[in-house]
Amino acid sequence: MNLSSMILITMTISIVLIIISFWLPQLNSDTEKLSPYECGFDPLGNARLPFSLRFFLVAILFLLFDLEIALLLPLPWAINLGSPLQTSTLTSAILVLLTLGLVYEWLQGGLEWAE
Amino acid sequence: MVYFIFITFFCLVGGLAVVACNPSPYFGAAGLVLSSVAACTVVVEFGGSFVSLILFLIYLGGMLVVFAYSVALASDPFPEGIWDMSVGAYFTGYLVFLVGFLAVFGGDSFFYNFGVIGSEASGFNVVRGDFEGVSLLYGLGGAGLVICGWGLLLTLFVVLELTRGMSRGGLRVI
Amino acid sequence: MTHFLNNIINPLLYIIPILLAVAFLTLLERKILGYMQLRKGPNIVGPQGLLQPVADGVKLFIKEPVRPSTSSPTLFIFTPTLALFLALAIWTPIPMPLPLADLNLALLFILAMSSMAVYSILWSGWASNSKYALIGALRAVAQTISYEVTLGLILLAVVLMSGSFSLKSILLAQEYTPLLLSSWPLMMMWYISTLAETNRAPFDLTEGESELVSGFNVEYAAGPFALFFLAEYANIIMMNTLSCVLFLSLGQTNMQTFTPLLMTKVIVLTIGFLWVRASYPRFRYDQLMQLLWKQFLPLTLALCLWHTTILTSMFFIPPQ
Repeated sequence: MNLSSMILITMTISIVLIIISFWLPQLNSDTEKLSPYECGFDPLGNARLPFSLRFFLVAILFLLFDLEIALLLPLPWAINLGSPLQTSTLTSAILVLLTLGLVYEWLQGGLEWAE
Repeated sequence: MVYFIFITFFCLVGGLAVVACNPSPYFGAAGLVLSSVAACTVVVEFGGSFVSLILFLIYLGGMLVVFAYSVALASDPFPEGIWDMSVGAYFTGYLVFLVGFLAVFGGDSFFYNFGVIGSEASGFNVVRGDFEGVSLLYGLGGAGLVICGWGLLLTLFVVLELTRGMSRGGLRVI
Repeated sequence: MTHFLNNIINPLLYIIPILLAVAFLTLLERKILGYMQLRKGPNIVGPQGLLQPVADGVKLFIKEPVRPSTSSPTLFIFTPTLALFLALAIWTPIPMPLPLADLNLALLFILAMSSMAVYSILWSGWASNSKYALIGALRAVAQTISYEVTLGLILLAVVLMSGSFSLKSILLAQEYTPLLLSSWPLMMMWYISTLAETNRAPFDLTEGESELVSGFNVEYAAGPFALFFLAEYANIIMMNTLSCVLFLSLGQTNMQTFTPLLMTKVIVLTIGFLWVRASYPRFRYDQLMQLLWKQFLPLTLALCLWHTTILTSMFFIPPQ
């Protein structure tokens, strides 16, 4: 219950703050003020531009490692299971698989940011 | 607490309607995030805190981030928001359909068989069965664990193969 | 009546000091940076400039906010709200020494909330429809999600030694020995990763004044900007509190002195953040990625395996 009341109250506080910030000051805007910021001149071209594939690759790698970490998360309970040998073997197996992935990626140059 | 559940279900349906009404992918991703946050909260309220947090961490903090991120990389000169004509029409249509559906088929008996009712407790703060269950992944379910790990390794392999030409082709790092 | 007090007053009495601490952290930062560069820093408003944060706050909230004409208005206004909401809600399970909500998956909750913070950065950059903002946001997101991987692994190694994801059991595990002594490499990597996770110097490539002006929040002014600012500094204090709870907590016998002690340690770590900012130049982006993927990740993987096997082989397994 405390969690939900804390969430509701923080939500209320941030909404109140954003409402205050648009309601308290007087708005007096014109086109120049509202144009996107780009070193003083009119923006050239579209801002939502296609971007380097490298960033995309980083995102995919993050996703894979994040999933592997999700597999490791039950460990604190799992080391209390009946057969410690099996638990540690499985843990080592998962960590070795993770490391293999990392090594392969490293060898293939997936981690080189700039050539 | 009932009101809280009601609000989260409302967000869930609203977010799904945003996804369904075909805005530009960007707002679609936003709707998906909204509805999955609501769905995770619903799961917590019905007592599955570990599963819900894992979903939150992996699906919301991982997959959807990558999705929203890749959509942000795409160029879209005139994104269609929820307030645009065609999308707004769909959105209103879906909501009207939902309300109508509930008005015709609604009532207690219709939803009675769907919910997960009567788990041990709700919220984060009681020792729960799902932790003990999930730890069996390292005992009886070891094979599944290894298969998952192997699958992820294969995925990594595939991704690296797909982006292999990058250092030579037109997608080179600038 | 008690119900009302529990549900409204308690969270409020928790949130308001956090916001005050954030306000004075900005003053502390400017003062320390000032003295490190042999100047005075703010010293006009109030005695020794002590009322500067108040003046800043008033200024930010009565200044005119800008909503660029090309931006996507809903997301543009929604993201600062989301940022502040997450930065405050993440404080719920922190023990002081009694937490507001004693979650037994507190660490997972904190990780999940901090991974949500990525959305506020990404969407604010995208919604402002400006090149600087978008590039800053993409950089920030790539950096934050990369460092989340090591944060998760380090947390896992710590949790293995305490036996549960609840912060109270971590405090209990450190009753006689702070975990800093037993796993100092983790602490070092954790501290650097929190620097990167909160986008602080020397990892503040998302700001990058020289090339990106101010990163993802160029288009924000006045109130919405203040919300981002509050969120950023609240996150810094939160991360340092978490580091203190995870690694630096000493004997827990005295409930009354717990919070002052904890906050003293937090202040020391935060001053460390400021000191780092004053001393080191900004990283290059490839160095940032190399530090994470080629140095931290292999090391944390090895240490994670070490922590699992040493516990099992030496009968150090913590109770559930």
